[in-house]
Amino acid sequence: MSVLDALWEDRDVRFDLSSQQMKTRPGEVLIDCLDSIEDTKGNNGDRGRLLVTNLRILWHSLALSRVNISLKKKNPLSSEFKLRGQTEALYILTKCNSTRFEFIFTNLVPGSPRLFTSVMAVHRAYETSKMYRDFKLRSALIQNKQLRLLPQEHVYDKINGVWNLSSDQGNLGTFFITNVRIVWHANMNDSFNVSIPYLQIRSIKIRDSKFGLALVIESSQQSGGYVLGFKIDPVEKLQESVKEINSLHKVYSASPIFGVDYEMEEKPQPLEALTVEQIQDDVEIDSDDHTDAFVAYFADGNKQQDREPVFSEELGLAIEKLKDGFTLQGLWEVMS
Amino acid sequence: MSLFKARDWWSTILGDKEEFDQGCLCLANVDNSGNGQDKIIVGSFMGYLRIFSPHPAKTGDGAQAEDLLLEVDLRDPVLQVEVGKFVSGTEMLHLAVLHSRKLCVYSVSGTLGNVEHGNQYQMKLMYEHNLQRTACNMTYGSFGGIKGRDLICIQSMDGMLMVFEQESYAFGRFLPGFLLPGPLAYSSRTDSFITVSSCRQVESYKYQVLAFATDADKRQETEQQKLGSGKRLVVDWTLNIGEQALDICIVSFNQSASSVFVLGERNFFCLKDNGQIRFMKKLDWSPSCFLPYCSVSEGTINTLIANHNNMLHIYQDVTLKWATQLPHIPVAVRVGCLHDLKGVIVTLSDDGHLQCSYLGTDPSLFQAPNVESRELNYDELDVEMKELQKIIKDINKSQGVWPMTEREDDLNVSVVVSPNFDSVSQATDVEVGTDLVPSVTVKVMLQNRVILQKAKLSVYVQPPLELTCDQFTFEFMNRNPDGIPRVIQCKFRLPLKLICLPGQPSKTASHKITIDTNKSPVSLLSLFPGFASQSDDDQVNVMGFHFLGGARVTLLASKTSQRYRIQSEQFEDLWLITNELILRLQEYFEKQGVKDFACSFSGSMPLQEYFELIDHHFELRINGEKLEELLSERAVQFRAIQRRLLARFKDKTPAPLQHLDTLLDGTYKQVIALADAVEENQGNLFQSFTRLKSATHLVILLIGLWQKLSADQVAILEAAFLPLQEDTQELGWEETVDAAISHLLKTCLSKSSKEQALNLNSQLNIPKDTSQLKKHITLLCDRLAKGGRLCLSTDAAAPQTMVMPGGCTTIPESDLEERSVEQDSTELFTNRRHLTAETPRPEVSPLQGVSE
Repeated sequence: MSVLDALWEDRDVRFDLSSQQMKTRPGEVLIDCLDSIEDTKGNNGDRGRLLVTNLRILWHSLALSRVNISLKKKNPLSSEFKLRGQTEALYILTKCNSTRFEFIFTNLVPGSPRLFTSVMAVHRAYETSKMYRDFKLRSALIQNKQLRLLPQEHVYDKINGVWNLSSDQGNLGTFFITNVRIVWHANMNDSFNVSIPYLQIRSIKIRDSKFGLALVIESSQQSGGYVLGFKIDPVEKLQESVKEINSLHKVYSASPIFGVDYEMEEKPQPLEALTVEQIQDDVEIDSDDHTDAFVAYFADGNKQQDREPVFSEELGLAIEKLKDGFTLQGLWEVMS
Repeated sequence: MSLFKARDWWSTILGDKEEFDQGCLCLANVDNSGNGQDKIIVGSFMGYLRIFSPHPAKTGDGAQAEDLLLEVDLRDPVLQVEVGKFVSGTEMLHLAVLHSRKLCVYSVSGTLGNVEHGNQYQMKLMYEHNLQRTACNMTYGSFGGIKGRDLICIQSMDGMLMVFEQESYAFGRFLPGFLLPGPLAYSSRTDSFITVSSCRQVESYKYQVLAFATDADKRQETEQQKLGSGKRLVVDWTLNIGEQALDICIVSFNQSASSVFVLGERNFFCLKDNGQIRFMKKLDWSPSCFLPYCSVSEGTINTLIANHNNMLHIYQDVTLKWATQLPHIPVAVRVGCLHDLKGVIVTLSDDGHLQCSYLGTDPSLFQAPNVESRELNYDELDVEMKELQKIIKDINKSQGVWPMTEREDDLNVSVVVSPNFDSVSQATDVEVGTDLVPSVTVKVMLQNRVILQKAKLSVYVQPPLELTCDQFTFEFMNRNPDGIPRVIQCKFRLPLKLICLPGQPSKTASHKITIDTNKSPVSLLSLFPGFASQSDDDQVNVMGFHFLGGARVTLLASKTSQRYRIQSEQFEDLWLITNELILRLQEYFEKQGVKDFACSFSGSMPLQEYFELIDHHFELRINGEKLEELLSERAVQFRAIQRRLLARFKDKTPAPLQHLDTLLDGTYKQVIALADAVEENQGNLFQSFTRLKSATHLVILLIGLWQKLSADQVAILEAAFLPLQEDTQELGWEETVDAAISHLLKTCLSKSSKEQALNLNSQLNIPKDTSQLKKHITLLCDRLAKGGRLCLSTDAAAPQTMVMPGGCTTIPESDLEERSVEQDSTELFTNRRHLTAETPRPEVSPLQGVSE
């Protein structure tokens, strides 16, 4: 029973990474490398380098190699070009664990022709290949009882007579086992289906249930931590299937397919060559120093989290709960 | 940047590269679940239909897998989704999906499992209508006041309203005067359909009228047979709003009267049931979608309006109550109750960003710092600041921006005129009359120590002389240190021989001038070497000059007295030789080391001869004016005849020309003859003007000698008599000079302070005759003879840089200018053509080296 190293690269915002974390993980490839980029929001005035991989955007300072940022790609709220005077800046608004972060990267060479086009294009490629990585329920996967395949996907096996144990009576359906994911769908209702990429599988077990021995797939915490039970008769067939799924999972773990395809015309150097070696300081750095690095990037003042929504009778809409002593009227009048 | 931002409560991105529009978003409890929660139904132009039930565990979490209830590929573009009681026999909510050629009604049902991911949902097709016409949009409601069920009305792209009574098609009606479909809405209170037509007016059609009108399908037939069984479809009311509408909403809250809301491209209207305007609001931005969502206080209605600047505005009637920034531009906005939270704003962008948001109440004040203001090096800035201040100080010291002191080291211009003529003449017209036109090579040298940028050299000679090349540009690499363009001038003399040949002296002449000197006479041979016509030295007291064109001037030196006489047949021809003689005498005595040499003129001023020339010039001007007047008259006549002829030819019934053609021909000949005359007069005028200028030079020279005027005073006279601008019909020499002289008479030459009162005419016009000018010139001479001094700087009434009326300026400012006054002589001619008629030739010509 293997547990895949939790994939954080594409769904977390981290600051002050170790050199180990700066390295690409299996399946992650460096797509573009932009020099003379300034992290306007947090490290104003420092010249740095922006690296774009298929999973994340990294920025590190050239002068101070300790300062670096890793941005998740998953679900940034918006990223866009904004023209400020004569410089173009990349504006990224993203959210991680209820905290909204805002990043502004500025190209220090004015009028540089190659700006952040690769960032935008890779982000687009990431957005349009979510099926490779996201746990999906009840989506349009099946067409004419056949699985709609993703561009790099191959079906290795199709197993009939798989019972989904999510309801009392169970649902008879079919398994598709591919190099990227496991798909189950109900024979009676195409819309009742589940797509589990290996990336999101936390564990694969055979467990006893009230229906007898069953295959239990646990999905990762970030995908919702679902526990899915499937029953395959007879037991030999079940074990055979589990073995197959396990081996495919292992193969996938060794070289994951993220599905983010982006071809640069000129290949950049590998990430390792570009990463500045960290000099081991003699002095032990107190780890507490790092904790507030992210404060500079808060999108909204110094607020780590939005307050909970409440219904406002005044507007007839849901609003963020007001701080004590404030009124909507007052806030609005300050503004206008 | 907005102060407030929308907080995302739940959000997701739909599909990849799918497109969405106004009708694609709907909020309803489509699966008729017991808890009555709204679901979000989204259809896309790619044909996907998705149903979401967001229930974030934590505010702002991304969409979880279980939030998606259903996703189906319908294969046809979804134009609009609506939820209503569309199936007969039940009041359950059903989903109507409008495709371009199909209307489908589905029932959506869910079966709950043990766990969340065990819930399964199914969509079952209840019925479908295949459409004969391409659909645009639809609306639904209880048409005709029917209870407990909803009917659907689809508007086609070609303007037919098709009404479906659930499973059956009822009727179709064409809208009158239709061009393009607009938004469509149904008002249950008045039982009518409201749309905005291509006439840019809101139109309301009663359902009853629609139902009883002639059937659209049979209309063709009925019209042909004129049976008139059906009624014509008439509009209930219209209201012109003058713009296209984006959307129409009809709402009524708390039993108050229903209002029709129309969102235009620039305005937002609220109408009463009968089409009267309740209010309108002019919008400062381009709106994208809107939604009147509730009534908070009695009698007012709150509306959300989103715009293309990512902003969402909340209005209470016309008062802006709140504004918030959205992360995208919404094409559709709804408000619903989701997961027990009331008043959630659901927005959908055209590229599939679906977001449920609530209004943030913390202002965001961060402004990205300006790139330019960063990375400051204070030491460098200090140094730069000091440098700049020094430059400013220097400039302030030297009074004015233009550096007056010429720095020799920057650029030096020097000219060398080669002593011999070119062996082969470079002149374009080699012969003038019988004489050959020679040419001479001039070498211009530019010397610079500092590196200059974009040095330009232009060489200028007076028109009768010609240059093979007059403009040179040199590109240098470096920058001029102070960045101010500078001009350096250099003037030089050309040899007299270039235009003048030795000739036969003549004893008699009509015009004579005698110049006295205070030194013994000099051999003319030494003054004009190379001009001696005879070889024997006895005759050196007489010398003849022959200009390239024929005129002759004779120079006589008295053997006994210290006098020289210049004589010629033409008054104006005297000037060049007189000037040349004086210059050469001065040079000669300078070489000898004699310092107190002086010339003088004692005879009376030859004003009469001068006035004749002025009169001649003026006569030609008047003549030219008359000729031009005549020419314009003839031209008008010519056009009038042309018009008449054209009318004759255009006429369908031919009529005799009545000699109009002869008249046209005659007028044409007249016009040509007049034009020739004008041209000839212009030539004469030109010639006359050059003569006049030449004579003017002579008069100034003589006045100077006569009254022993200083160089400054001669320069003032020069500026008064020889304005820089060209002689034209509108502004000629006479009025300009008259104005200048009368100014001189009124200021420095005035007898009393009474005369000093300036009354300058603001406009200079051609005078009636020259008597005024003559009177003024005579007066000027008189005053000078009586000891008047020409001086501008000491005169308090007239500042040095005085501008004459008409814009001629007095220029005497520098030594350079004075030299040019004495040497400027080529302006005798302005055209090669006059060379044959005109004789005097200059030996000197200004050349200007201009560098910047």
